[in-house]
Amino acid sequence: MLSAGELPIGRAQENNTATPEQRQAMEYEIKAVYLYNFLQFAAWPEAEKDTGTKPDAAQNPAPDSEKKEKDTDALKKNTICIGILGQDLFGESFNEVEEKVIPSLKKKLVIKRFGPYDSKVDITRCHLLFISSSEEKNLKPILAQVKDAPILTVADTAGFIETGGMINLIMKKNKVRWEINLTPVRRAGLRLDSQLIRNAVRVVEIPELSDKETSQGPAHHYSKDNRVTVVSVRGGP
Amino acid sequence: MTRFNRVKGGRQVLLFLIAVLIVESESNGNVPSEEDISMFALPLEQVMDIEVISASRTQGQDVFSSPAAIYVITQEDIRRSGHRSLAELLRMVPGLYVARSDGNKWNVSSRGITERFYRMMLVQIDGRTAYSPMFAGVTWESFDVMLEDIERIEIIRGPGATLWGANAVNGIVNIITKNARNTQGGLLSGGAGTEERGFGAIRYGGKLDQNTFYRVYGKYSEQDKTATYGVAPWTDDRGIGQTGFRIDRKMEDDQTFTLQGDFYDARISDLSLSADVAGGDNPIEIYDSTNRGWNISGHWKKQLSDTSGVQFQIYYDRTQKHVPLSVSYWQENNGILDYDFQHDFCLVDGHKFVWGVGYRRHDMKTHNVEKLTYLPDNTTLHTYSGFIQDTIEVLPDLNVILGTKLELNDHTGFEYQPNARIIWTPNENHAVWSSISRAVRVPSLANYNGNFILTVLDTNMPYRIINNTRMQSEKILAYELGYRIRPADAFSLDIATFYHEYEDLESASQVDPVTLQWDNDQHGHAHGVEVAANWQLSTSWKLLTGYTWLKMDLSGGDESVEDNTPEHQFQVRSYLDITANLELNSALYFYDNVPAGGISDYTRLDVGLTWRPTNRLELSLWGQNLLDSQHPEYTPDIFFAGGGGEIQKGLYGAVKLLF
Repeated sequence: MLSAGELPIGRAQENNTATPEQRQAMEYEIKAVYLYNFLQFAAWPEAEKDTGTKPDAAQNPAPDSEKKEKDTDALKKNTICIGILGQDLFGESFNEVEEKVIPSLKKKLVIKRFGPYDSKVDITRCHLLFISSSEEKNLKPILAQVKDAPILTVADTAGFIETGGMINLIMKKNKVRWEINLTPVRRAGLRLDSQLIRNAVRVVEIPELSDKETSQGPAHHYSKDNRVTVVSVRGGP
Repeated sequence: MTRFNRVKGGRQVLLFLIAVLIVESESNGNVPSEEDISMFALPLEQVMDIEVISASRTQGQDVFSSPAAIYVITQEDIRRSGHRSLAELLRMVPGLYVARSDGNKWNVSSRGITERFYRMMLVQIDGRTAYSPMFAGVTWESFDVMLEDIERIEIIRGPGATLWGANAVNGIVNIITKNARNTQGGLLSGGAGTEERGFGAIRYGGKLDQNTFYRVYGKYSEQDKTATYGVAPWTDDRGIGQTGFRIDRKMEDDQTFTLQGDFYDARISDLSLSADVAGGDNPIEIYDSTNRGWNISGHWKKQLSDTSGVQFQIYYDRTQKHVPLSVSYWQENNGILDYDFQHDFCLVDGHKFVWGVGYRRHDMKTHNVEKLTYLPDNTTLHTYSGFIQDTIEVLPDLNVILGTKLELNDHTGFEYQPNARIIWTPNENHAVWSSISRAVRVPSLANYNGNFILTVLDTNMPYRIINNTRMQSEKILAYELGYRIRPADAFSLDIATFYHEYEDLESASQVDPVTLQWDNDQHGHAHGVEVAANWQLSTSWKLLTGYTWLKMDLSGGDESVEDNTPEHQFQVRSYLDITANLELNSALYFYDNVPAGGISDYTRLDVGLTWRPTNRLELSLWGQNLLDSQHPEYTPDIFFAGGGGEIQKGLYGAVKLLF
């Protein structure tokens, strides 16, 4: 109603004073919608196999007993899972769709909040892993852990795709946009819908480095030592 | 007996609401209807068009570049504070002083002259005033709101009368609740503890059509008595139940409508002395008073263009206080009808005008007892007001604001309350502002019509305070200077300094050996510094600090008033996220001694642990006032001198569930 926040100008209205917190909340509401859309525009290899288990490509193949446990967990055949690693800035954004069936996939959406990165926690138990900006320093070990697993990695951290991530959310003129690195997407056996690629601000294929190189030096060394192939560059809205 | 019945009554309200809501949610079912289409159901191209914030909406400047001493309590602050009542929430505001004189009486003041019914600060919720023109103050004990539904609380210290009208002398508290669009779905919360004995609340929000949203809520809470002391054993606990609704409709053509209303019923345990001047036999009265009220308000707003808009608001607010006494009863009934219209526009480049007119009608009726008599016992007052203000962009980074309020009231006639403000924002990380403003506090009905018989405790001698129909307005001329800096994203500092000059302050002078009469014999000045600093140490840890320094010098009347507010106050609040779903929140408040009431300095520590096992469930455990088993915070005013209460350490647990 009448709000004092606008004292200098007049007794203005409620929606005229967006605090940085409100702005952030809205930004993450939109980002939640994007993650929800990405699930529908990506295809996972196990969906075709119809087994619900992870393919053998996983870096550390789990013993059979553990595998069964996973079957009953988040990767159940009729569920699809978004994992959130690090600080959860989504607040109540997922409330509306969490634990509900996504009509186009006929699968129930499960949200797993892993909390801060801990190498002992198995973060491969999800289809889409959102890595919060709070984990910027741990990006390398995190990506190493999910490398080869059929997991769509998404973040909103500068340099994410250069570090080996798949989709990075960026802000362009107050709108949320994304950039894609196709190399890890292919390696993980995922397929992205053409709509996702067509509408991306930037689609790149960054050649992978050997494990040795990955383990040293900051991310920007990649572009220095390896040629970055830009497939297409699209402007903002 | 009364108390038991009331408790039961409150629960019945809650149970009824739960029943209504269950029916409601069942009828909605899980069948997705077309109206349920949300952002999640939009095609990708449309999602891509959603803006985080549309630039045209941000016509105003943000808090950082406001030329006033402003502080904002957000929903996050509320959640992370552990406070469970509106008055307690205001502890977080540097420059304000919150002290309890017993379990159900809060003294909330801004920049000094503290008293239970604080006459110098306006408090309003969604544009509806909570300041009573009858006794000039807020009945904090029965002023409630669903805490989860608060969008934010904006607090301006210093005069704000040019926009908000008389009595905004030392401050304004503006409570803004969420749009019903933002409270969709169900919320159930409850808890229990040693001091916060029990509380429960339920809210449900839904859609009436594509553009119309609603919510209904109900809540009930009980507070334990404190360590009471006084002329007889007594209790100071309270129980309060409240229910209400809000409907918001947004039309395509930038028109919005809001309709909202509340009903509450509170039981306040209390004690008073009743004496007659002739006998002075001083019987002690221990009773449960009942505060009851309802209100309804409508608000319409239309954006005419990017730079202009109009809004109109109307509300009716009814309050009743009933005090059963051994022989008779005291009762006061107030009705306030208020109209308010406002228009803002940009006539020439560099000038933003806002003007408005308002009318308020206040009806008051009392059932008098000898100890407390309003004559006449039936009064209607009218207030007509208008204001105009121009914001001039002198340079791109320099704004000057000139404006005044003009008011006509039945008691003091014509009042003018102008202000001049200037703000310089060389860049987005620095702001310097200054202001000169004048405001008045118009006499209340207590000054004009009220006659009180009080008792001097030491001598058991009764004396009276009688009305004065020649009472004038109290006046303030305030000079303020403030500076804000944001040297890094993670750190911000806000400093406000002020010099207040008061004239014709309310006082009471002796007219015969047992009689005092209200008059305007006090004057003086106050100055001080208020500092707020926020520091985001990491993504998971935030520190908020505040410091308040206040110095007053008054002459004439009761000069001890200058010493009834702490000279120094200090606070540190810490918001720490241990993991993504575990929070440790704590707050330390230091209050300097209050010489006028013989209160020593004390420190309050609150610590709370909050765990969210899922996104829809929140469990929290709070310890409050952890540093001592009990302490006095404030000595009761002479009007409530029968006894007070020392505030005790408390522990409570709470559960919140979204459905």
